[in-house]
Amino acid sequence: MSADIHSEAFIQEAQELLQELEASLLELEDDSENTELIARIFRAMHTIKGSGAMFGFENIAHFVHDIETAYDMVRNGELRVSKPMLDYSFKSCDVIKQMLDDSSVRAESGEALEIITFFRGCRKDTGDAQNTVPEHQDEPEQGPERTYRIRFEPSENIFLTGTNPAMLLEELQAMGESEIITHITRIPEIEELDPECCYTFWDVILTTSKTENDIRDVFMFVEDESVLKIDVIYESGLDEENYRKLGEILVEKGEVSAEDLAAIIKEKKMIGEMLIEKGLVEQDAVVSALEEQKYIKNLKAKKAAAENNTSLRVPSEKLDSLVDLVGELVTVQARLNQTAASMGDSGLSKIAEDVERLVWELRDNTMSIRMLQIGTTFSKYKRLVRDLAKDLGKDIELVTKGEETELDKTVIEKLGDPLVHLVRNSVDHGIELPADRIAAGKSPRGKITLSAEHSGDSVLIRITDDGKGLDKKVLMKKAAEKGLISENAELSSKEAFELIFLPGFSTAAAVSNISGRGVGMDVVKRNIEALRGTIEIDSSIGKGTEITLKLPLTLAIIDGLLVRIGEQFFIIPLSMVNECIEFKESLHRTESGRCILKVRDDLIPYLKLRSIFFIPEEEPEIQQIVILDIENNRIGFVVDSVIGDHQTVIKSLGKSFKKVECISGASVLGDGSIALIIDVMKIYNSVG
Amino acid sequence: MIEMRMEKQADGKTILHLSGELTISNVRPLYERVCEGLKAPEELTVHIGNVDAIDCTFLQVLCTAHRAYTAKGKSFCVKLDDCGIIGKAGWSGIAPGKKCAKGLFGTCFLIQEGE
Repeated sequence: MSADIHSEAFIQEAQELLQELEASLLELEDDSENTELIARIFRAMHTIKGSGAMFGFENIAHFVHDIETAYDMVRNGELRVSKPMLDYSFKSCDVIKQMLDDSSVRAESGEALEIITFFRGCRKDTGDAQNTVPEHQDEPEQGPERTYRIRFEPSENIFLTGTNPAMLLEELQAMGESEIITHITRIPEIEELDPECCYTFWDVILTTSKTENDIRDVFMFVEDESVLKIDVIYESGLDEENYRKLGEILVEKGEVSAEDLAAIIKEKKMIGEMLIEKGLVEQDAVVSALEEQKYIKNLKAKKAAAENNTSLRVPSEKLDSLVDLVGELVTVQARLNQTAASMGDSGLSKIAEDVERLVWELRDNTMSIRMLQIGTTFSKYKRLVRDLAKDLGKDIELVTKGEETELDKTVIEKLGDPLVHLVRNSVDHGIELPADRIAAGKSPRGKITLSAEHSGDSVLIRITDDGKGLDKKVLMKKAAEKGLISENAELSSKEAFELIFLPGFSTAAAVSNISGRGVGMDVVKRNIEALRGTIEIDSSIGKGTEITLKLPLTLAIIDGLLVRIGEQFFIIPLSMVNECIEFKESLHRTESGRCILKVRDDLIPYLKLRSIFFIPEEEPEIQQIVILDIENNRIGFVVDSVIGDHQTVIKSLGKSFKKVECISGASVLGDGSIALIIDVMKIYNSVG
Repeated sequence: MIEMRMEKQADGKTILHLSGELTISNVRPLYERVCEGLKAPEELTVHIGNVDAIDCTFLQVLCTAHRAYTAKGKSFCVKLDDCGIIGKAGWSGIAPGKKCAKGLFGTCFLIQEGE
């Protein structure tokens, strides 16, 4: 692989780590003592630094060094997390992103220098006066990860030598994940106790990549007067069978003889209870063994979970190409079906059926590979809300729900900008200032909820805020001032809310750098519709606003209704189709000549697709009308005939057809002919 | 410096307030106090708060005192303002709710009622 490929891999990894890092920092803001979060942040910084140096991103490695050091100090309890530290940590994520995009961004200039200076200051404040930054300190060699059992029985006089055993245990804990079992059975009765002696001893189960010698070094000054026994009880890759049973651990630790154990086993009772009952083992020895067993079980469970998460990184272009190939395969398979049917060969038909089954399985699997959890993008909105709220002097909590909801990666990518705009709007226009909220009898802290859920073949994404809501009167007044509606227009609430989607509409009293330029909501709507989605608003004054986006699960394949007009085939997205009925124009023509159809007491306007697409052939006497449900309105499309449902692999039309209106793509049919996919929303919007 | 303050309650119970440095250099006064209490017909609650330092000598005294009081049918209870101090004393793995080796089968002063 070339250096470029390595660099690309690093950039991808670093971007993912930055996402994790930001999510962890946001959590840390609410829970600054959470050691797991601190460790996660440290690890992310450490990996970015290490990999950065390895792949030639020296500026990143140099920049991250001081931040990593500060978090290492936090991890070791030498430094406390502060608000400025978190602010600078967030800024550092932005700088790292800049450095990933532009290698000329230096660590010792501009904002990067300000951040480094801050984190160096943190070290100084804690007495670590080392101001020089080692460029790339070599990490000590790490061995394979092992789990040790360390029995430490200090001498009774350990305190008199000036050693506190607690400090030694803390040193062990710093080496890795650990569990400490404290034995107190040797503490004598009160009359016999010398309060200045140490009667306590410990078993430490420690998982670390340090060696046995490293562990012994901790006890260097007390080992001669103490009992120190170190055993490897688990090593990754070895002894993968079920971990030893309780009795085996006790025998190994010398707590019970193998003979006594065998005698107990014969009685077929709980080993621990029996051994204690018979006075063969102290109960704390059993407890210690049980803790050890539990620790290893947990360790193995964590390892298994990590292995299950193993994934393979594949460039998304390769996935796109795979989807294209599957699309071709679907087309060929349809032709095979047609050919087999026309030949009347039962053997060939059977093969065609088998191929069809396999192709659909392959298609479903390929599609599922492209599905990503939307939660991967949610985290960036937390940061967005945090920063915007801070700039505006607001206190806002962003709650996310349904992060596990899956969407096609292309949909997720294209959803980014509209969603950013909607969230920004909620922060800027929706949520009020704390004082205003208190005056309105609300909590000073506003809440924005970003949720996702499946609904049939679509995903619903909702942005809900508990802010001031949309004021119908204000919206209408503004629209009238801008000449978007007449002064006397009568609009329903829903229609009034939708005014904000008109180009150039904005009610913000002051234009801010966040929103209020009236550029955006029309673009948001257009972008959502380009994804074959819809956008709806519901709002209540004083209570808040809810914006619902309805998006297709995937953009690559749709369930369509195949129809024909003249010699041309068209596909209408099946999710919008309500019903199909026979249509004879002579029977349905109204006196006024308006295109209105009466279906079971419902008056439904209809359009002739033949006219929209300028198809010259003569209309057949009996046509079909496909009734669609669009934004809770019913509308009919008149076509020559309805052929049936059709799984459609969407092909883009290419640059030459970019300006073709009302068509969103094309699909190749089984016989090789082309079917055009109708952009229903565009037609609907164009006719009002 | 250790601060040790006795508080007699109307119901006859005694509360022993401990704070400061609960380390080997100050453990003997506590030991002597609990031994005295064992001779008197009193029930003892040890309240530990505002701890600057603690080591396992203090916990050993409390542990053996608990056993002795219980054996005599007296109540002995420890209340901790900060459970984290137990870990700092090298008694990691023992914390209220988690139980110590003794606590798993029997009772432990760290998981006494009143915690």
